Order: sequence, then C-alpha cells, then structure tokens
Amino acid sequence: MDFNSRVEAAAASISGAVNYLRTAGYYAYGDGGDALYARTTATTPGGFQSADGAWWRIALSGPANILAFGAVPGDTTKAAINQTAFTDAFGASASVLAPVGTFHVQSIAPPSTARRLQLDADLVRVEPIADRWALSRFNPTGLAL
Amino acid sequence: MGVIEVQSNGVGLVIEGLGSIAIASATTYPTTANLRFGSSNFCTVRGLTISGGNYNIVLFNTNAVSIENNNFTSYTVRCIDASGFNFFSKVRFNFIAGGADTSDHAVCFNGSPIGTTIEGNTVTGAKVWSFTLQGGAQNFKIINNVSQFSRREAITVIGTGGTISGNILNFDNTHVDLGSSFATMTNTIISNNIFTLPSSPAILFGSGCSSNIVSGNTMVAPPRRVITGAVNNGSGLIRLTVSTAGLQTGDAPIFVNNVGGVPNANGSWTVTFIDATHLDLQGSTFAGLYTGGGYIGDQNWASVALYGDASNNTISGNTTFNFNASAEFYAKEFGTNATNRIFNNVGDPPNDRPVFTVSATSMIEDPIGTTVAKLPTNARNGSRIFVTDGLVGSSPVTGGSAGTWAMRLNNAWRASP
Repeated sequence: MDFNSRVEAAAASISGAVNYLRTAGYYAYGDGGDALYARTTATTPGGFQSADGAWWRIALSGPANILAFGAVPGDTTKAAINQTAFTDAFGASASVLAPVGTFHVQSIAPPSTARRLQLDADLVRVEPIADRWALSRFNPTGLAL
Repeated sequence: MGVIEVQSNGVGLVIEGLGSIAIASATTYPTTANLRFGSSNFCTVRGLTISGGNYNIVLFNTNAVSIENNNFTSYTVRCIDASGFNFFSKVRFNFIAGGADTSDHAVCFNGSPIGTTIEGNTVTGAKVWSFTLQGGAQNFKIINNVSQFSRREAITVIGTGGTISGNILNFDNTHVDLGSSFATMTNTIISNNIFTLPSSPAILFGSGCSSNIVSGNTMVAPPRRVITGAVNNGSGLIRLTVSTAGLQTGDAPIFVNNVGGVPNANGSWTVTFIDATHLDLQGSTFAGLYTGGGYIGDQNWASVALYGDASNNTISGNTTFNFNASAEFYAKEFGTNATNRIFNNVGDPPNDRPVFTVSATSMIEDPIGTTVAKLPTNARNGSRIFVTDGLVGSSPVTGGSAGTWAMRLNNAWRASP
C-alpha cells in the first residue's frame, strides 16, 4: 500500500489485511524521507500509529536515513526536530545516514551501540531559539561569511 | 558537550563521509567541541571538514580512536585535545589550518598517552605548538608530518620510547622540544627530519635526557649576513655595512660575530634599520678601525641543545647549516653528563663547532667541515675529541693537523702525537 508521505499514512485508516506500506516521503512525496513500514504491536523509534490505531515500524534494509525520521535540512528552527530524528534513527539502527544538506543541531549523542554515522551532511551547531539569527548568515559549508 | 557527543561507545563507532561539522561561535559555545569522545573505544572520524569552536575534537579516556583524513579549517583553542588516559590513538593524514590568535595547540595529548601515532598530518599556521605529547608519553610515533608557520615548538614531547622521524618542519621557532625541567626524555629516536629556519635550537632537550638518538637530520638556521664594514654612524653608534639588511628596527637579539678591528660590535644587539645594506647597533659605542670579517646570525645556537643531566645520547650523521655547534650542553660544570657521543655530523665552516660546551665525558668524532673544536676545561677525564680538519680552540690543545686526537686526562687536554 503506497502513500505520498508518512504524514498521510498516519492520517489514514488502514485495513487490517495490510501488513506493510510504503511512503514516498516523510512530510511530502519526494522530500527524501521515503521508507517501508511493517505492522507491529507497539511504538518503535521512527514508527507511527495510523488513524485506525495500528502501529507501524520502519523496516530498514540499510542505514537509517535521518530524512525518514523527520529531519529537516536548511532550517535553523528545526534543531530539536533534527536531534530527535538522529536519536530515533540510531534507535532503529546502529548505522545512520545523514545525507547531503545542512542540518542544524545542538548536540547529537549516538548510543553506546552505534556503529556507523555516514555523515554526508553539513552539521551546524545552532544556538537556542532566541539567538538563532546569528546563524542565518552561514553558508552551506558551515563557514562564516 | 560536543555537536556529536560519543560516550561509552565500545563497538567502534565510525563517523565518516563528505560532510562537515561547524560551530558558529566559539564565544557563544565556549565548552562545545565539534566532536567529543568519552570513555569510548575503537572509534573513527574520517574524511570530514570540521571548523569553528574552541575545540574541534576532544578525547577523554579513550582507547584506539582514529582521527584521519579530515580537513580542519578553524579552531580557537585546540584542534585536537586529549586528556585523561588515552591509549593507542591515531591522528593521521589530516590537514589542520586556521588556528586563532588564542590557540595554544594544534594537536595536544595530555595525561600519559600510550602508543600514540601522529602521522602524515599537515599543520599550518598553528599559533603556538603544532604537535604536543606531555604528561609522560610512552611508545609514541610522530612521523612524516609537515608543520609550518607555528609560532613556537613544532613538536613538543615529554616521554619515553618514541620515534620522531621523517617530519618536515619549516619556519617554526624551536622545532623539537623534548623533556622539560621536571621530566625526562629517554630512548627516543629523532631521525631524518628536515628543519628550516628555526630561531633557536632545532632540537632542544630539557632536563634529564638520556639514551636518545639524534641522527640523519638536516637542520638549517637562518643564513648569516656578511659584514663588510663597521663605522661610526656620526652619533657614536656602530653602523654596520651588511650584504643585505633583512631586518627591521627593533629586531632583537641580533648576534654579531667576528668583526675585526671593532670589537665592541661583537655581541647581542637591538638594531635600527637604516637602508638595505646598513644597520645601526642600538646602545653600542664605536671604537677602533674595521679591518675585515664579521657576520650576523639571527641566533647563536647549537643545532641540538641539551639541558640538565644528559647521558648516553648519540648525536650523529646530522647536517647543519648556520648553527654555532652540533651540540650544546648546559649542565654546568657540576652536571653529571656522561658518555654522550657526537660524531659524523656535517657542519658548515668557518664557525660551526662540533660541540659548544661539554661538562662531562663525551666522545666527539669526525665532524666534517668544522675547523674549530672548542675544548671545555670542565670536561671529565676520559673525554676525547677527534676533528678531521684539526684542532683549534680555547683549550690548551690548538692548531693540530688534520686527523688530530685529543683526550682529557688528569684534568687537562692532551693532544695526540
């Protein structure tokens, strides 16, 4: 069963005969957060509950892509969301992929069982929300303009 | 806290890719590092671009962490800082640039690091030290690195059982600083390095260095400036005519040597730049008539300086330019230096000496291109010296022919027949 996004899937009431579903994005199709989900019985890192009450866990065949866990590139206000995405990604897999893009974070803490972080992303330390404007002049490489 | 904070990872987390980690403001985040590893084993950081912050990478109580092939572009205090107990760390093939004026180290391991490998890195523009191992490093390797334009020591180590080899160290001050006033430096090999333009000894041993080998290095001090005249500048100061001034007003200390006929010129001075070929010596008093000779050296050092009780060290096969001696001992006459061997070093005449002062039993053999062997009167009985080109010096032994031996016996130097 296919959905445009995980958001759309979470809002759907899904037949009990369906055991897996596929999404084309996290927030919207094509945003890079596409994933395969399998029916499960409880909440899991990166999983969700659909409108019918069923639980779905993300089914990984490779590294956990942080975009499939809700990370948002290029937005200085999304540091907390990005950190949750990293945490959930490491909760789902010992191997995590941060793809190309600028991700603002405060501090990422891989668990003791983490084995690999493929960091193709540019991570930028972002300050608390009140001070975030200082970062608005940063370029994608992370170097001050 | 690190932008990436790795704690208690025992499975060997690998962080690698084409990405970067940046800290916007070291002032806003004074305690934030780009990456921090605590109590973690077998982790690797590879291929990243890392910038900003007071610290780029911090290690605390780690085992076998590798930091390799990264590009460090800026840091405020230290690029890589290790404290606690760190074993078998590897810092390899990184490019480290962009130290700030407040930076003190590019790579610094404290707390008795064991088995540290620092290999193939390029450090440029470190504001103070490039590579530092302290607190009693053991079994380390610092090999094949390039360090240039650091303001202080390129390599600083307190420890034992190491190899410092194949490094190219350019435009630094004291290049290799080993041991300290309170620590020993032992059983370390310093070989096949290239040092250029140090303004102090290329290799400086602190107190208590023993059983080290300094061999096969090329050490180049700033070239001497030839003096061709010394006159009264009209105000009573000595004005030197030099091949090329290359100095600025206020530069000090400037060492003037061997000026004939105007002995007051010889010594350490602060200079005043007059023009491209003339310098005045501040505070000097002109007297006499210039008869020829003289040179300016930016420094007046040996290529290897050994402080304190230096024993059983071997300094051999080095090639030096523009230094005053192959080795210099600072242990004073009551020092306990013993059986240091200094041989087969290649100096450059006419002023390089195989040894500056020796306060102990030393063996000096086969210096090449050095016609002056200053024989210290406080050397211990049993010391011997052999100078290929003959012996000339301030000792009782002077003017020997090529291949002359001298030996210290009964508190006097005895020339060979």
